[in-house]
Amino acid sequence: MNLKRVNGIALKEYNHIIRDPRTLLILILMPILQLTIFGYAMRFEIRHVKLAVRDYSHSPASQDLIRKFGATEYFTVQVLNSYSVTPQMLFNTRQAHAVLTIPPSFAAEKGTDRSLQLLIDASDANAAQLVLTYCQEIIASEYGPDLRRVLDVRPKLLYNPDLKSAYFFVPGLIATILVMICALLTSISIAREKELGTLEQLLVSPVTVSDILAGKIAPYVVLALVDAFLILGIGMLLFRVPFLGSFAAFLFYTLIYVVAALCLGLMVSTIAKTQQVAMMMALGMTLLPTLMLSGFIFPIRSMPWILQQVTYIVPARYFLLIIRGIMIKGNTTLELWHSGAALAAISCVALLVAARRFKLKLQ
Amino acid sequence: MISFSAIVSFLRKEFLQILRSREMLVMIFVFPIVELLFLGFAVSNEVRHVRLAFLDYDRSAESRELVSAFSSTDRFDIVPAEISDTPYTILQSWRAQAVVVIPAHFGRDLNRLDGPALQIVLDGVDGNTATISSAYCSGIIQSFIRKELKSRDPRLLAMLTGQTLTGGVDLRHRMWFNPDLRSSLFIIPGIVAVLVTITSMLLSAMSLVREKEIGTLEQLMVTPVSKIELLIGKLVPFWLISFVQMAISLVFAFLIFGVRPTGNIPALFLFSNVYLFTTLGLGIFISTWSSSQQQAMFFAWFCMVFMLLLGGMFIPVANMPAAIRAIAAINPMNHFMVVVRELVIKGAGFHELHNEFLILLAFGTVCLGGSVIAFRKRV
Repeated sequence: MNLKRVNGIALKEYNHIIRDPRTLLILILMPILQLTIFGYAMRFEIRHVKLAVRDYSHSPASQDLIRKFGATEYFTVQVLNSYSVTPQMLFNTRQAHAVLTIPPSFAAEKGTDRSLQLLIDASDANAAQLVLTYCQEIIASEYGPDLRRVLDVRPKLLYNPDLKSAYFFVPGLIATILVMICALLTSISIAREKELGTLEQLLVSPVTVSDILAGKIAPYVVLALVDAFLILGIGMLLFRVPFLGSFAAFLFYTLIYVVAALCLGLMVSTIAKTQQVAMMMALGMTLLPTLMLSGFIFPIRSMPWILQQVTYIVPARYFLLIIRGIMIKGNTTLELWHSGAALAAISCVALLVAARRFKLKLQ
Repeated sequence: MISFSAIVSFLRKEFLQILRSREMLVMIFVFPIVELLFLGFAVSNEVRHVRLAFLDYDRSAESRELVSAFSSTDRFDIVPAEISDTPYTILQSWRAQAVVVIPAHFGRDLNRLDGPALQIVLDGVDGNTATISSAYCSGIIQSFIRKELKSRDPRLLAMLTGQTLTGGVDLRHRMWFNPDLRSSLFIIPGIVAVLVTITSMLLSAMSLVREKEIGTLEQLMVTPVSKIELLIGKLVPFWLISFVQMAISLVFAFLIFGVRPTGNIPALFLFSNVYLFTTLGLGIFISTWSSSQQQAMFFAWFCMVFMLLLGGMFIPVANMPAAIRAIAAINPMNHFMVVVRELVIKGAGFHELHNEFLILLAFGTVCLGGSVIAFRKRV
């Protein structure tokens, strides 16, 4: 590897980036907008569920119950006047998400059957489960035995007592955006040389494989880091996400992660011949696994065994733990070395594969 | 004005171009299946196997029973803790996601009904998991208490709480459409909608820009092919591929997950057709705006991210604040997602979706019409 030649290629690549302001604009705007929308819009708890009530009891007791449901943020209650409307109709026209039926016997004496019937549109299983839990909570607090007097359970949340979603999304977004820029952009940039035929020009120039690879990578590392700091800054200023750990540790591990992502991108680019294919492969090999299999949104330990094994080769899995650890828990470099070592191992393997496959020859 | 034979030969060129790229074929036909597998299995907000540690300072028969109540479910995996640990050291080193602290004299206080206390310390880094596991914990503890009190004296509980267990109101629930509460039933129609969008929007935009970037657009310019013919030739293949992809993913959704459209399948294709007008139109629009495939890809990806985030794929639109819900209303994918889900899961009929049909039709007309007018067959 020759530093001067690497510099030359890096400069060329830098000009490619800087002279394409539209791409650059998107690369800067996307994380900002994404973070803002994630921060404000993403809520896992469900509110304002449309609950239709069929009240066959018409008693003070049933009206009291309906008021209890309406008083919570969870439900928007609509009492049905017509009994000819079936739940099926309500669900199919999406006028209700759940239907509560209060039987005529509801106002009767204690001891008789006073069962309420609750029908839930369960097409979204997770939402349905939550709706059921909310209803059960309301019923239990009204009519159930108060077990709190027997046993006092105190839950306590460490690190994120107010359960702010930004604590969750800012680290995850940094991991996603870094992968997108590193893997997607590098894989495309080499495929573009192939597609436009300019790779031939590189081949006849006195550069080695490692010169090309290093020169191609360097500008994207910088770009990726700029985006990472941008997200971090917005997350800390706008959403008040803490940064408890050391900045040096963050930088150290982020560099390892960026290298791993770049190596994956290089690997893709050695296989893909056109930009379209490179893009689709990079999407399939890096972006989707980062979103789906890193534990960013969906907990890894709830996945089937075989998918859990796949997550071990997803770099974001390790980086997410690192970055959540550093930012929110204040972990030290030493406490996170397992994950760092795993990332380094992934980069080595990907780099070996890429270097072996990337040939300075035409087919 | 439109020459049929010109379109046919143009179409032949496009199909040859796609069919002769092996990687492209793999991407078009294997990608949906892989995505279906990954998403179908991975996407579930269900929380299981939460690592739970116990700090048992009591070491009585009661505390051991409480621990065993937790170990009998697959929601928690109990991890060992040293006696020198504190909840903080356990969470800080990522050994567990939740810690239950059983104070000394827990068993004694429970027997004397002296209001024993328990503490659950949760790792708030993943707030969603923390909330759900907290709810699971309280559920398990409540049933533990019930069992304990019942085994001593069945009347004890009633006396203590002033109410009987059975005389109170009881809630009987039924889950419609999805009695087993499978997450895949909801996510798979969503994947179908996403796939259709990716193929039609991303690939068509890139394929149009590719001609610009490689310089073959100049060759097309000197041919007598008109703008409309060029667009038809370019878009029809991706329109067809989207349908093929949709069919493939529906077949595999059935084979792998047993998810079968309960509604009218021709209606599903009709709606998709209308939706494709929008996405193909967006594809053309993106291509007029970009001069390289990289630009096109990023622009398309930019649109995709927001369509996905605000499309109800992962997080229900109904949960979002009103301002963001208003933005989501102008997201065509949001409406298409509703249509696909209603048709596949609930077996809705056309008349229940005619609002969505009109909305999608309006989007399609505006997007396709506008972008065809804006498209220039020039360099």
